[in-house]
Amino acid sequence: MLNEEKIRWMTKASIYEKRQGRIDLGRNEYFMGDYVRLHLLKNGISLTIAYILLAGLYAVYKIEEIFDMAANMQLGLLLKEMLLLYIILLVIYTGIGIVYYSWQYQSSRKQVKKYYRILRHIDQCGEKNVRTQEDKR
Amino acid sequence: MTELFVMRDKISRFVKEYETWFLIIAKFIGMMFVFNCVNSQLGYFEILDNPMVNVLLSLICSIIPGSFSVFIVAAVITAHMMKLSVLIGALVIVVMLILYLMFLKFAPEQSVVLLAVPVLMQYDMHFMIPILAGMFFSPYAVVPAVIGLFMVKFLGYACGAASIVGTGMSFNLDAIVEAMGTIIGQVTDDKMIWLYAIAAAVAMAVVFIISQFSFDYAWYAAIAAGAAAEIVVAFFCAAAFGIDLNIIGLVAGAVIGALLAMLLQFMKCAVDYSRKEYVQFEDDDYYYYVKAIPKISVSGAEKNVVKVNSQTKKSVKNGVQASQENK
Repeated sequence: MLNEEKIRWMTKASIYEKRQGRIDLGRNEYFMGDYVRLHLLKNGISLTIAYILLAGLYAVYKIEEIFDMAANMQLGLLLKEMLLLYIILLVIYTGIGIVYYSWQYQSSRKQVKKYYRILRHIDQCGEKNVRTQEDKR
Repeated sequence: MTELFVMRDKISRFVKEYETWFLIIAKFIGMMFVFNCVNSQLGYFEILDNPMVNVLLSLICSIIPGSFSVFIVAAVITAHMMKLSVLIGALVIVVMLILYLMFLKFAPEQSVVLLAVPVLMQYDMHFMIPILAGMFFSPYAVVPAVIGLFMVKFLGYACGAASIVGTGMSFNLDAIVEAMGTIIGQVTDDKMIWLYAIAAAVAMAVVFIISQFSFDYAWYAAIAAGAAAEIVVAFFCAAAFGIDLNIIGLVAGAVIGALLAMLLQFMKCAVDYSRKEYVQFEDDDYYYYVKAIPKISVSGAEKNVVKVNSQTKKSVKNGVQASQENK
């Protein structure tokens, strides 16, 4: 005999697992600190590569001025300015990243808690089924 | 009014039943428009400027995730630019990499916004995107929208600067510097990018913030307010920057975007505000104040058709005759 209530809960759980659940359950495998740190590291690497490319473009654009600065021994000043800009960008991206990835992790956690509640309902339906069958005997 | 909800219900059921196919067909048509737009604007690589190649690429993009479609479009653009000039093509690759690494990797699911801008720009309808994106995506969608506009402008100026560097493989530093100076100068002088960025940001913020409120018809108020804000801000920016703005395109885009957003919102969720309820309850952790608005779902009347035809009558007659003969 089919337990309709259990089928309904199992369908909800299955739909969640198939869609958003894949992402949420994957995130839930990490501690929040580890998850945020991992994504900040990826962000940092992406930003560094993008900054190097931007710096390269800027260097080509201002090549004559750079040659003049090199001749006047002012290249160190330019490098300091570029490093300072990089650090400022990194700090901004890290700040935004901390807020964003923490919020992302917390949202996933809430959805996963709902999913666990669904699983508890399925368990309870299973226990009710067993008790009903035992009573019938 | 009931017929409207019945039709909505029928359309909704039909789409849900064939959801997978609808998505594939919609993506195919969308990508056909995108590749058509890219080839008509660039079109330097003859092999890619072929309808059969367009169809094949669109078919591939219709079955892969949206973020990978962006890579394929980027590859097609790069191929065109490389054919025009290797150095300009390399510059385009570097710029696209920078934009992806710094901005686009944070919102891969909003690739449709990025791809919609160049297509709608052809018809001066790109002002409808902020309203739709504000309603159905997050406010971060302003970034792919502005990047889409930036790329269209940048590629246009890059094509113009190709004559400076030449089309060969020879590395002429002076020519490269001159070309980059020309492109950067033209991009920074183009105030339309700033106008669109400000108007889109304001429109999306207004739509997103107002849609989060719980007053009646908040969604529709958000869409209307977003469209109005976009038009007003665009006018102000055009006056401030001294830009010649296509007023018809702006107003038409905003109005069409608003109407489309309202239609999509109606199809997504129709609620009956006259039957709203306010309830309060608590659990172990929180005390809840809840406003519950029932959704409207009206099914069409079920019809049972019973056909009575002459064959049925004949078979009944034959059966009666046969039973009489047996007697």
